[in-house]
This record gives sequence, C-alpha cells and structure tokens, in this order.
Amino acid sequence: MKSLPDTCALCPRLCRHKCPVAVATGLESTTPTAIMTNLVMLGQVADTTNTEANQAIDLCTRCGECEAACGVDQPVVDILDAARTRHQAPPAPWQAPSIEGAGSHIAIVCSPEDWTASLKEAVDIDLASLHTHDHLGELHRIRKDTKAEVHAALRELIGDKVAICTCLTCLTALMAAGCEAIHLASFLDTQQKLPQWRTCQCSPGPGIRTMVTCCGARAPLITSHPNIANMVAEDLHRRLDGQAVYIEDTRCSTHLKAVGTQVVDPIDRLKNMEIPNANR
Amino acid sequence: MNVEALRSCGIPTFTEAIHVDAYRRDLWPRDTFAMYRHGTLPPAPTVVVTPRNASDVAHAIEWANREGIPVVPYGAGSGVCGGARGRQGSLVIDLKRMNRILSIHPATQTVHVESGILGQHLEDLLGKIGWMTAHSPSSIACSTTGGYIAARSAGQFSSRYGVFDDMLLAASAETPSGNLKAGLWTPNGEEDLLPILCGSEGGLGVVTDMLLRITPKPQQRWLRGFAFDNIEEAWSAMREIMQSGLWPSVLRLYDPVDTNIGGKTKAGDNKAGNGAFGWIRKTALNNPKLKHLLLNIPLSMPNLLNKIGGLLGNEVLLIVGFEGSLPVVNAASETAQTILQAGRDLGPEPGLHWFKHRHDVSYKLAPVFVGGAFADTMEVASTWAQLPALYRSVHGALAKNVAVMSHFSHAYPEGCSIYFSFAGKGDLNVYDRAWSSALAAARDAGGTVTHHHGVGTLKSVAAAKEAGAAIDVWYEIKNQYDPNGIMNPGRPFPELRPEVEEDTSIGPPEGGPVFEIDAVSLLAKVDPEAEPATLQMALKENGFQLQITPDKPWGDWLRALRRDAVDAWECPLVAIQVLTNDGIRTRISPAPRSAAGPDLRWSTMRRARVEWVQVPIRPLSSDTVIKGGHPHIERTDIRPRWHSENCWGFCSTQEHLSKLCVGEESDELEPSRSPEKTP
Repeated sequence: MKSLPDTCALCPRLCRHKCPVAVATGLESTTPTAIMTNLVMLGQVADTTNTEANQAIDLCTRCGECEAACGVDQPVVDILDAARTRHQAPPAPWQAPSIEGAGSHIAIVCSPEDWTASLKEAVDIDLASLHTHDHLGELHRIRKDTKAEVHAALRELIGDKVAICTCLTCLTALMAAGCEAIHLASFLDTQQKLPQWRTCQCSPGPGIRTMVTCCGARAPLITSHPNIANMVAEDLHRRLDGQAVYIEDTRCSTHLKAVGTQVVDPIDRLKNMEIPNANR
Repeated sequence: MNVEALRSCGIPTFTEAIHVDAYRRDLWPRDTFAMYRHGTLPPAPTVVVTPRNASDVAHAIEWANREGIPVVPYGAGSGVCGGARGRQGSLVIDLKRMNRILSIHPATQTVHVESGILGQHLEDLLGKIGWMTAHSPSSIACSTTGGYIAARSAGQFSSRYGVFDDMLLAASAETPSGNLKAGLWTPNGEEDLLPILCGSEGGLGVVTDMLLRITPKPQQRWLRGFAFDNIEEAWSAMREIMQSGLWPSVLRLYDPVDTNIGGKTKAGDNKAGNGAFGWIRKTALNNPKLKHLLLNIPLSMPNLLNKIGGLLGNEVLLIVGFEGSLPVVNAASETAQTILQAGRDLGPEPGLHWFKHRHDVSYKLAPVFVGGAFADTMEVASTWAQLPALYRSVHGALAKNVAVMSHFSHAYPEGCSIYFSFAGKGDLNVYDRAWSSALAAARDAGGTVTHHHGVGTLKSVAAAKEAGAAIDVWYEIKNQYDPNGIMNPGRPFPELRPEVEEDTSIGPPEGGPVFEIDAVSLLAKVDPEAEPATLQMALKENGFQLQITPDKPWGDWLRALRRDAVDAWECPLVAIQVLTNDGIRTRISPAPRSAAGPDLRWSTMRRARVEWVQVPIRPLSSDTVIKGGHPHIERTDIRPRWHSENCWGFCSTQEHLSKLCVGEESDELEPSRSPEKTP
C-alpha cells in the first residue's frame, strides 16, 4: 500500500506531532491523515470540481516533517503534488519577471524590502536585480505539469549569471533549474567572517543548530490559507517567548516579523543593523 | 445558531466544510470500514473552536448551553470506540492548542499540564530534564493528556508505572454548571469527583488541565523473550512475577496464533520469518495480488482460519522487561529469571524487536480496509482467577465471526488484560455481530468490557450493563454539572438511564469478617466495618495477610482516602458490593482497572450501604522476594516511587520551561543489548 493516499488516510496520525501546521493550529483538517482522507474521498467520487478537497490539498507547507517521522516512508509531499496536478485546474502560464540593470550577479528580491542597493554598497560587484512576488513561480513549480516550463524559463532568464537569493524557496528553484545560485548569507560569509547563529529548520547550515520548526511561510499553504499560515507563525512566536532569533530565510523572517517576533535575517546583517539579544 | 456570538469571544472559530469535515470521525474502525466500503461518513459538526485557555473553554460551553447545542470535546481523535465521532449540529472543542506544561515540580514529582498536549510532546519535554510520566500508549504520538483522562488510558509500561488513572493526582474541568476541581484540587468539604471525571469521556465537562505524577527516566532498560510450551504455564509465570513485587515494566504474552504470525518478535529461536508463515509472508510482500488474495480469502472463512490457527502448536512467547536504576534492574531481572525457568530463554532479541517496532502495527491496517475487510481490537480484563475463562469465552465468541489472535499485557498483581486483534470480511452486520457477541461473552465471563480503550459509542450499552445499579450515581452527578445534557450526549453511558436488571443471584454476604478469599488473584472480600486487626487475624488463619493495613476499618479508610495517600501502584480496592437506597444489591468493578466509563466505586460508597470490599492480600510468607543474594536491595526498592506528601506547593519554572519549548528533542533510552554483562 506504500505510496497510496490510503496508507495515510488509515494511519492514526502518527506524524501529527511533527507537522508544524497541525501542532500550531490544532486543527484536524491540517493533519496529513485528514488531507489524504479528502484525497481518498475525492478519488472515489472522481469529482475534480470538489473545491473542498482541492482546498484541503493546500493545507500543507511541503516541509516534509511528516515524511521524516513516517514509519513506512510515505512520500507525502509527492503524493500531494501529484494530486494537485491531477485535481486542480492548471494556473495561467507563468510570466517570468524581467531583470533590471546589468551585472555578473543578479539579486533575486522576493521580500518586501529591496536590498540591492545595500549589497552594492557593502560589496563591490556588478549587480542586476530581479523582483519576484511568487518566489519564481512556486505554485507552478510544485505541479508536475508546469514545473519543467518554469525551470526552462528560469534557465533562460538567469543564463550564466550568478543569482543571489535571500530565501530558500528561490534558491532551491534556481538550483533545481540548473542555474548558479547562492544564498545571500553564504555570499556575505565569503566576504567577511561572521559568527554562525542558531536558525530555523528551514535553513540549516554548517555549524547552525536546528532551533525552531517551520513557521508556515511556504506555498501552497500561505497562498491558499493565509489565516492558517498566520496561526503557525503566531504559535511559533508564542513558543519563542520573547527570544530573538536569527533566521536565514527572509521568507520566514518576513512572516515572523509580521506577528511581532524579534528576528534578524541576512538583509539586516547586510545593513549592519544592531542585532538584539539573539542566542549565539 | 448565533456563531458570531461565539466568534466575538475571540476564540478561533471554524465553520467551513474543509475544517469541520475533519471531525466527522475518530479512529473507530467501524466508521473507517463504512468509509471504505460504502463511502459514508458520520455527520460533521456545525462549528469547531480551538481554545487557547480554560477561559475560552468556559465561554464556548456557556455559548453552547445557551444555544442548546451538543458539545463534543476533541483531543487528537485517536479513540477507537467512536467517543469523539461527529454529531449533527454540534460544537467541537478541539483542545490541542492548550498544549503547555504549566509547571514542573521535581521536589514533589509532579507536573501541571494542559489537556491538549500530545503525549509524545510531553514526554519529549520532560525527558530533556530527566523526567517522564512513563505513560506510553501505542498512540503516544497522536493522543493527548485530555484523551488519556477521557478514556482511562493505559501505556505499554503500565505493569510498572500504572495506568493513567494511577498517575493522575488532580484535574480541573469546565462544565455547563461552572468549574469543577477534582482530586487534590477538590475544594475543602466537597466530594472528590476525580474518579467520575476520569472516564467520563466529555460527558460531564471539558478537562482543561491536570496534575500528574512524574518519575525519573530509567538508567537501565532490560528486555528478554521466553518461550513456554503452553499458555497456562506462561500465565502462571506472569502472575508469579506480578505478585512477587518485582514490578516489571513489560509483561507481554502472545497467544499461540499471535506467536506464530508475529515473526521476529516471537518464539522460535529468533529465526525471523522461518517456517510456513515466514515463507508466505515474504512471497506475498513481493506480489500485491497474492497479498490481496491472502488477506481476503481467509477472512471470508474465519471459522476455518481460526481452526488452522489452533493447529499451529501451543508454544507461546512472553516478553519480560525491567527498568529503573542499575541495581534494581539487575536484582529484579535476576529474581524473575528464577521464576521464568519453566520457559526457554530466547535472549534479548524478541524484547528488543518488540521495543523497536512497538508502534508499527498502525501502519499495517491499510491493506485490510482497502481490500474491503475490517480490523479491530478489543481489550478486556479480569482477575487472574477468571482470566482463562475470559480468554476462552471472548476468543470463542469472536472466532465465530472473525479471524482472531490475542496477547496479554497490562498485568497487575490481581489480574491482567487481554488484547484481542481481529479481522473480518463482509458488511457492517458482520462487524456488529462480532462485537455484540464478544461484549456479551466478556460480561458473562466476569470480565470488564474495556481495559483502556474507553467506551465511546461502541460500548455505551455494555458499559452501562457493567455498571449495574451503580449507574444512578453517574446520572445524578451528570445532572448536577450538565443539567441540559449537552456534554457529549450518549457517551460514555446512554443519554437516558437504561433499565437496570437486578441480579437476583447476588445475596447479602454471610459469615465474616472475611467473606471470600481468591488465593489465585490474592484478593479477599472483607467486611468494611471490621477492624483491620480482626481482619488480619481471620486472614492469618488462612495463611494470608492484608497487602495494605489501614489505620481504621476499610470502609472509613477508603471513603477518606486522598489521591496521594498511597503509592500509585498500591491498588487499595478492587471490587465492592453495595445495597443501594432503592434496595438493589449490586457489585462494581470486575477488576482490574476497568475503563468502562467512570470509576463509580468511590461515589457509590458514599451513597449506599457497602456490604463488602474486595482488597489485596498476600501470603504470610511473602516478605522476602529478592532471590539470588541482593542483600542491599529491599522489596520496597524495586517498586517505582512517588513522593506522596505536599503536592500543593507549586514552584515557578517558567524560565526553564520556555527554554524547553524550543530546544531539541531528547534521545530515548535504548534497551541494553547485553544487560547480563552489565557490572
């Protein structure tokens, strides 16, 4: 039964204690078991217009914690991605953003804050910029039918330039597409030796300890269910209990800053902001 | 229904189908079977709230009471009896956001915790500072402390640490009539209703927080398998170990069919998967069609399958485990091995394999349901004296309808639980027939219909029958705290009081002060008014003595008993017989540790004339139990200990807790592979 939604639908939710969304919201609907049950029922009625089941598929952040906890190695994320492709209407073709300026490097700006000028100031490089509001077509890339098209567009867009990213979603997208890409934190570390900080599970790195779980700032959850994603961030904020944290992924840091958490991210480092009492 | 009024209290409120639909079912296999076979699900609630604190819960209940809407409290939905299944037009209060440890008190060995925390999270957090509740049900990753209270849960190490009832010292609940504090938190002069709250399955109110006993994590864990030629010999060994005061953490006996099917964890010299079963299993694993056929054809012929199972031989496997400090584990395991000499030592492998895979069974059910069949479990319990009859009676009843195997776990000095696993094919009638005949068989054989799964929808009528005339206590207290009957109606007992058939075979006790001695289960029915010294003399004439010696007559002592007055493990009362105010004579609790709804013994004792109490005894010659020369280990050193005094002084540990909440998980202690070589 491996790899079928039934295995999850019939499991007593043995991974629920690891699912950041289920733990934060407490909602049964967010457990892999409930999502897969919807999928099973969807398969039985073969009703692709069943919006409830389609919405349920998107109650996942695709963090993979459930897969790590699973005793029979269910590929939960893959199953859901396949279901999304099968049951949800394809989105409109992805419109690739344009590159502003020219240079050997391209700053991939996906956060509300444009950090291009700060990087140019800090490091002497030729830097172009690319502004993306959908993390380089994230929702297109998690579908099996539109993924290749986006990857091809990214390869054409970036060419032989080096992309500098501040979030793992964009970074992994570019790497999966075959582009050369580097995280801003790593890029800065090559320029000046900075201390390693504890960070979130989304972006572990050399010498960085896992500290907090996913804050819910990933599609499709944050796109389809922003209120649920917000509950995840609020829960993490509550558990941090006033502690300041360094978070390497600006997508997560933006999400957590919005609920009042004291966060420092690579853009803050870039701007030489004073770091509050973060734990080293 | 004015949902906006509920929302305006600031509690996260959900009415969208995508969310409320997820509360249609818990893990009652009947609903899962219906979903796969017929595509049907129980009704969805109308609204779901996820409170953050007790005040939110109180507001939600107040709203539901005003609106006249039934309330279904919801933990993690791992119940297998339909206790939290969906109800049309209901309000579900999902407690999982109330998941904080409020304080930890190492000095008194207690933890104050909210009711929505998952068992695994609680153990992980406590483990970081060297403590544990030691409550480890197979659902630990997907069940909450509130659920443990609701269904009177038992963990896999209950033979040493007790069931959840034994760990629970106090609880606070919100009810339609206001806050209810029970156990050690009972207000002065009021009746302690903790035994009623525990097992009430949301029928009185919603438990919001509780005080639990904690114990240091063990330094050493020892596990070993023993093969016995037949089940009777293994029962004797289990009983002797439990009654010797060795307090094993695991005593797990597989019946002959389970021993043969289970593969690696079973007897047979650790040769995993050998023999006909091993070959069939390996072949089937590589061929899905064959696997499907092998599952479905035999399940269509349960009678034949059970008969074949009966021909496989009589050998059984017993897994024995000890844990605690190194000297204690060494002394207890060495002594136990002298008792286990009737069996064949299989070494540590079967025990280690069980330990490693003890949660895996939940992953194995998918092929059964997807194939149109069903699988379920039934856990009953009785005293040691009644255990063989209970086993044969329930096994026989199930075997007529379904393929069945069983194991015996959760052993106590006075008795043991039997866990039947069964699978069948057909429609819901087959499922219902299997259950109704098995429940009747359990009752006829003098067992309790549930040991730790609770009652829910499945066993509501059977549990009411088991309660007999004592059920009036439930309806009296229910009416006091939930006068409009909105709290989880019909669970754990039917909404309307069932007609109670008076058992005319029960007569007044004769003789005394000791009315009856059960020398197998080490229990005596005694006069609750007799002085302990008189009882001791009467018992001594028969070669026994009281296990606990109260300082006053049993009746007075039990009525005044505080939750923390005895060690968790000392079971001071097994059964009682009372004469109610209506002149009905009834007996309660067929023992041990029934989960058939609330424990009605204590409140009944305060409302009816108690004719006898059944209490633990031990042979006169049983003081020295440690064999093999351990002069520095006393009998009392073997048992898990709790500090019983002063559980009231809370210390503030918020700073510590906040660090705990974001730290890394602790490592679980792995059992020693070669414990016999440990110095």
